[in-house]
Amino acid sequence: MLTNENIFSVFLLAVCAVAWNSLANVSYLGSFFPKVIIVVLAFFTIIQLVIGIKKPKHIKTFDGDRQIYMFAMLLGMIAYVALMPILGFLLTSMLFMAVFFWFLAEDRSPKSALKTTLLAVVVSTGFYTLFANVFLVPLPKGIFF
Amino acid sequence: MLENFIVALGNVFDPLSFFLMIVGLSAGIIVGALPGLTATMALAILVPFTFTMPPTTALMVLGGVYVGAIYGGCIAAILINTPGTPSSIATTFDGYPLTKKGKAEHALVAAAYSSSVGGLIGAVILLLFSPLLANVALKFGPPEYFWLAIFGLTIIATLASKSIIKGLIGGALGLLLGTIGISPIGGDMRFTFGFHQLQAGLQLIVALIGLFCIPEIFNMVERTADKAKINIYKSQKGVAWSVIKELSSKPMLLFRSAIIGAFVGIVPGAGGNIAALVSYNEAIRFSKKPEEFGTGIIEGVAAAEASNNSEVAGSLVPLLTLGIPGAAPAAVLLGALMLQGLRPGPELYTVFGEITYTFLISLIFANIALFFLGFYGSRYVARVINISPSYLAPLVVFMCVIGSYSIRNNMLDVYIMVLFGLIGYITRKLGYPPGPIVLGLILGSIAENGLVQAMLMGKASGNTLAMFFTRPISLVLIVMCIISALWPFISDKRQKKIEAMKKRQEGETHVN
Amino acid sequence: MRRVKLLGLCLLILLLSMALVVGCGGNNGNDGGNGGNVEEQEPDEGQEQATVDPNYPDEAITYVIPFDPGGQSDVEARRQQPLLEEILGTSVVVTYKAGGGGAVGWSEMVNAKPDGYTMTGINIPHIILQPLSRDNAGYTTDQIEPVAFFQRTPVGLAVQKDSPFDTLEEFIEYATENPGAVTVGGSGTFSGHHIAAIEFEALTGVTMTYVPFTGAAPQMQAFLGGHVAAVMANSDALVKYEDSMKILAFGGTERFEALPDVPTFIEKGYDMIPSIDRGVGVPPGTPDEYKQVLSDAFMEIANNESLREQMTEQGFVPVAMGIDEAEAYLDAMTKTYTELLESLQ
Repeated sequence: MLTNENIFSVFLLAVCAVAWNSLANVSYLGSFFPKVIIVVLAFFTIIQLVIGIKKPKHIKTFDGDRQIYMFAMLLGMIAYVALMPILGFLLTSMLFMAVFFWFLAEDRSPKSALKTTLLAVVVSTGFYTLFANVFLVPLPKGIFF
Repeated sequence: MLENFIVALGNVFDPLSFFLMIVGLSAGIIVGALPGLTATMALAILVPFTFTMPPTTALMVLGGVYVGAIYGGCIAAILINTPGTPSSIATTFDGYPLTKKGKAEHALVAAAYSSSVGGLIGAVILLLFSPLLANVALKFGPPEYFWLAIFGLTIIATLASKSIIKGLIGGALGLLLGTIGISPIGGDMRFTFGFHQLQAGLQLIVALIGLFCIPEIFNMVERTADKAKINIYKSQKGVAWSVIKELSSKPMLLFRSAIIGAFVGIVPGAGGNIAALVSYNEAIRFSKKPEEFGTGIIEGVAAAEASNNSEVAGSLVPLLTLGIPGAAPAAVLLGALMLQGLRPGPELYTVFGEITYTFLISLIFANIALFFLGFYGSRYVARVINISPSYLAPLVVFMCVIGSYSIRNNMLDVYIMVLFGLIGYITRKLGYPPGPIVLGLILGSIAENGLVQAMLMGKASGNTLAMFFTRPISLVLIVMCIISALWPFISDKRQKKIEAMKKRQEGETHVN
Repeated sequence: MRRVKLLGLCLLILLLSMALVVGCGGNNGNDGGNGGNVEEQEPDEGQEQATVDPNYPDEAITYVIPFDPGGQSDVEARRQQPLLEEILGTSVVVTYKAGGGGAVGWSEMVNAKPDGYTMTGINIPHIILQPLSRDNAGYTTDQIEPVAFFQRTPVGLAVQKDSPFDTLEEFIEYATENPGAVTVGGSGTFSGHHIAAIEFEALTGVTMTYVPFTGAAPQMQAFLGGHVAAVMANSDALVKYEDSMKILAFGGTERFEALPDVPTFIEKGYDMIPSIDRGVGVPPGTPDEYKQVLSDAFMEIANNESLREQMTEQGFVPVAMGIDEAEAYLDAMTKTYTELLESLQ
């Protein structure tokens, strides 16, 4: 009964409750549409939950054979964007790509570390120049760059 | 009018202008292919470059950029399941599965061919029927927009064929997410939780990148290469011709998709994303083998791409005749037109006729040029998929980050993108397809605006129900909604009847 | 040991390449210029006074438009851009930060570095009404430092061409007898159009139903399609679609050049001058010297004959308000609208 599916359904119902509450101070016309949607969402989620309890379907969400890599990637991504305002776009991009090009590869020799760092540098600076100077997008600057 | 036509033809073939148009087309394709950069952005960036050009050249270039950018989105959609522009959402449904089967080049050529044909049909419609069609656009008022949005939502039934409940949940979730921001009436802040950047709501592209691209990256990374079931792209001979032959044997597919695209484009506020989704849905409805859609067939790619390119021309109809842009990129074109001193309206076809006709005819040639670029370029572009995941994954993440940031130069968008990535990964694994969620996001504001505006109109006229249910175009749309929502059940019954008939016939022949 | 050496080598390469990029690329995507030196003159964050650079401006200035590209503010900025670049002697980059009717762009502006290299388009009454009507718009009106106003778009009341009203009086009569029956379309909630409708209702005593649309284009589309009975519309829209409508009254102290047959609200006895004004502002704390340079540039452009002609042709009113005038105007309008909204509570 405690399948991933059902946990998610409960989570969605919690979202509905939070959303409903946060509409407390909103005018009638401003809250009409969202409230209808929340009711519809809750309705279907409850149906899903009932189905999920009667016929539990055990879906594995984290079952890849290299699942650790996925988590590493996720954490890496979070670190990447979290550090971007502090260290700047260029530095974080280079770090992220250099680390992961090397980490994800089958062969992890020091030689490949050099290769990946160079590649990361080239790609980052290439796109940076393109976006900053051609597309005129001011990419985040950190304390260094 | 005829002399304008002939002069315009001459203008189009002016070598410098033509060359610049091709440059614009190529630039547009590149920008469109990069996730996060949209056709609107491409045009906004390039408009200043056209100031120094004469109006005919400037418009030709901008037209090329528009056409190229809308096409370019299919490249990322097919190769990495990321719509390069919102118009390519539907292209991912069959485009990416084709890539996974090792048929990336098939998908790319199909996209190029159908974009080109679709765009051509749209451009011809624009050229010949513009003023007539503009009046149709005006007939769409708030109630009609509401029903149009509901009709769009019925597409969920098709997109979530495996589990309708989950599709409906996804759709409702998307609709709810679409309400984040300032309410259209009352100006209240909804679900912003103190983040003033959320006043504008969620950016569609950020959600697209998060829901479509990031989960695929995680998939790429979490399995070893052989278990990931991604086939390497091997260059084969004659792929392009075989695709064209196959698509040419089904002319109705392309024609119908193009017509849908043009009409959706004509309605201001409905853009390429909706056009492609509706067209995809209709392609399934009219197909003899609907269950194959979504597994990776070129018909799916063709339906989506033909309509989104034809939508380009459609969006120009209300723009040129009334000055009301049919889609966001058209709004930028409006600005460009005004800065060149051209005013939309009947004058555009008479006083400025030469310039206008040059623009319209150049669209035809832009679409033809698009075909050649796509045809020959596809086999090289397809090779991108052969890059090892250890390089491809971080690279794509990098591009997603830079793309999400570029939308509004706002770090919050990047954070939201990552958040959506995680949500998309989990929901995908649990059986909730991303299509309905995105559909809800896109249609939410159209539905709400239409609903609340129509409610106000109804209040003023004293009869709200009549406002929603008695207007002619609304009635047509309501009927379409009902048919579309019930179709999966009707088509099931039809299938069973056909099978029963076949069995009876066999039984009879046996007896005889 | 080998691993450490290699790591060090990698980091060194990283550092060197970044130094190269930044050294050659300069700041914020301008075309080379003076490279990375200029940043050092200003303090890193906060609203402190920056030390004044006599060579200002010597790098690219960002002109932020808090709306979507293609809109009116964008068109104006594009008109001004080449002239600005000429006058200021540096490149001017137009970027977009749309959202919340401009609120997202303005909240970023009040938090940006007051180094004189970012300016944002501002619109009255938006910057006044949004903080008043929203819990958290992200900024407050007094945080906005205007540098110039260069365009006025008066707002007028128009009805369908086939409607039974030929004059403002007939319209008011009908609206009085049928409260709420007349639909008036406008762009946005608590925007220029909305406040014009509110003011009108307050002065005439009628009740109408205001129907907000997401922009001027959808508003006019709905009107031309006959879905709303009347609109409070921008002057340029009124001029553009003049032949498809009957314009009953117009905002202004005297009649509008392009619409000489249309009476003003004041003429008809209603003391309102609804309009939307466009200008430019800078982050709070920007040194006065920089503000003056920017203001002078905009004034020069505002007095440019051909630009004024273009604007008038398209239905706008060119205006030239420098810093002091702009600040006074903003204060006056803030007072007016604050009182108006309070009187309605």
